[in-house]
Amino acid sequence: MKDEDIFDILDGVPSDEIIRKHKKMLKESADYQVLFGQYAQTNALLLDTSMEKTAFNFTDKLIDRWEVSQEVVVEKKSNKLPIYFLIGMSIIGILLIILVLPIIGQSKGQINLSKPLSILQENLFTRLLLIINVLVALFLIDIRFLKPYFQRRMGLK
Amino acid sequence: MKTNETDYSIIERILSGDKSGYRDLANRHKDYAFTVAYKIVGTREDAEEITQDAFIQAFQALSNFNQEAKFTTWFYRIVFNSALMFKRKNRLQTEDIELSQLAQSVPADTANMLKMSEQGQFIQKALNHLSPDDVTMITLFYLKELSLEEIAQVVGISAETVKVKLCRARKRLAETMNKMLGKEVKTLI
Repeated sequence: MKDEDIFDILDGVPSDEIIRKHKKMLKESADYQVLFGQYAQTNALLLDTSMEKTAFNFTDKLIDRWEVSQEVVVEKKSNKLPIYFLIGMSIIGILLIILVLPIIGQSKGQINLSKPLSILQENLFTRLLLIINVLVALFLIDIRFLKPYFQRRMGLK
Repeated sequence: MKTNETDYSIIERILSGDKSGYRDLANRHKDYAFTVAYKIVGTREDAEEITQDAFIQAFQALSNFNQEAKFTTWFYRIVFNSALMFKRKNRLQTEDIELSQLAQSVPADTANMLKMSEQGQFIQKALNHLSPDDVTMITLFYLKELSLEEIAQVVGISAETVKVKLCRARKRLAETMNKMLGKEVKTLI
């Protein structure tokens, strides 16, 4: 008799042939009686296996953890904001350096403080206007595109 | 807390934004999942942690869940794998008590002490000496909720292999219990 056959008997699904062999061996073999008894005892204990119960607040704790884990996802997304901010500021800084340095270089000795109105006739005024335009453009881009984009990503909208 | 509502309709509710579905799904499957984890890892605290982690993983992957599959086999597979990983990580930390020592620690009046209410603990002690695979086979089989085919899906092997492994696991458990208590086990029944 194979072990599988013995377990088939214990599970109540043996073939007629196995039942016949089992009955015969029970009568003739003491070793088989011991082995079958051992398996039957273990099986009887296991048949009492019942469902364990979780702690009474299991579901509440789980839902709390689930909600916290959802918040962490949002927080992770918002952690990228400083990077975007730094990139934006770097672009603005580079633009300012490109625009302002030539102005400072050229303006040495050209601006006559005693004649402040002459500034209107020089490049300085034009370049300042250009800088203001760039800043206003960046501000508008931020209001129109960047701010709604990040708000959407953060789930605020 | 079983209702007539199917797992699929609860999942549909969750995916359409009804957050109460998470609670319903958890209440429905927590005991079974906890039992599987507990039988594998052997302590209630760890089993509860593993079950919670498995639920979180399942919730996160719900949108990817193939609804042609059975939710329970998919979810119990997550529980099984989590418990298995935990067991492997903690293998070095677990007590390595020889069976003979364990047998010596059992008091003389074992027969009476292990009656009824302590039978479960005794079996759990014996299960702790088996591999997680063996424990899973035995647990899933004796909880009687899953067919051999469904057990096969949970552990990721064929039904035929499940039958062979289950047979070996039951044999090993019988031998372990026999070593632990010898003849005294007979008095438990």
